[in-house]
Amino acid sequence: MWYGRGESSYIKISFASRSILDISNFKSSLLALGGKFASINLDADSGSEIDRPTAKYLTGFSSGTGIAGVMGYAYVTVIHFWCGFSFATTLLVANAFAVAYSWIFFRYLDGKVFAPKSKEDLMSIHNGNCSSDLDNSNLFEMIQPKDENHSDTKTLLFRANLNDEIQCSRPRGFSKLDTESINLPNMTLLQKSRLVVSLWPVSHYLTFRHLPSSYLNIEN
Amino acid sequence: MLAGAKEISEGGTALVFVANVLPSLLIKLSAPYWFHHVSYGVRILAGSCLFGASFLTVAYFSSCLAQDDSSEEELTKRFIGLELVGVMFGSLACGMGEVSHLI
Repeated sequence: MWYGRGESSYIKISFASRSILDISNFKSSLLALGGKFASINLDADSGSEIDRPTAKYLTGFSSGTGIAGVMGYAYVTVIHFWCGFSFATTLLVANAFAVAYSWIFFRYLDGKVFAPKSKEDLMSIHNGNCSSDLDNSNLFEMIQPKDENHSDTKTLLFRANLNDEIQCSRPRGFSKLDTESINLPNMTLLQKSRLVVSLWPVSHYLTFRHLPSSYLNIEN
Repeated sequence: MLAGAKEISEGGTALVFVANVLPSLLIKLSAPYWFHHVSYGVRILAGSCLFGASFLTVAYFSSCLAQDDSSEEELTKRFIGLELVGVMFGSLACGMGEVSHLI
């Protein structure tokens, strides 16, 4: 950020944007990984596991840095600055969003998407144990390409040799993780945390780009 | 609320940012210890009510501030403080909603 000091506002904004890009990539990647860890689905009544697709990670909608934040700014800009309504009126009209928030949940999502988790389930996650059905032997399935020919897979991120990166990039002081035998149900919370941190070159895409390609074994 | 930070407190936007972050952070930190006691429906309803409370509080006190012709600094500070309470309501709602939808 300090690179822009004394320069034009555009330079400052560009550096701020660069910083936000980093943060957003890191945050959304870790949220996705976090979602992977906690994606246990239990039926509210029977307690049995529900067979449903893996949760989609709507990280773009998370917190004020996602679409919600941009929409908020757009809303204030349109209603307050362009239409000329007072700030108080702008906020009073925004109560429609608060009503819509509840209405959409109870109309479309309640009991259909979110299966309430039992206390045992949450405590199990808290203690670092997960359902045996949560087979994480292939933890990297979610970030590795399934179709080698798909255009999305031709990104810098996916071309890297993932296992090598993880082994090479583990932070100092962290024990070596055997990626071949990662088995989430048997991992402790500390081990999971270490695993997530060890994935930083993958999750932190922009930082990853700035590292020497030879270090990360990237194919051109 | 961040979009209207300057409207809420022109000279203290940092305060608005802090009020918008801290309650949400507290919710996120404490969520694993009490979320299993509260159903999704209750959380969403509480979040919706908090959003409403936030909008109403900030709207009411910002209009009070706009109509206040007196130069009483104490009164102005009180209004801004109450607006910040409104921002905190919104932050609580955001934290609760975000965590609820993520887990």
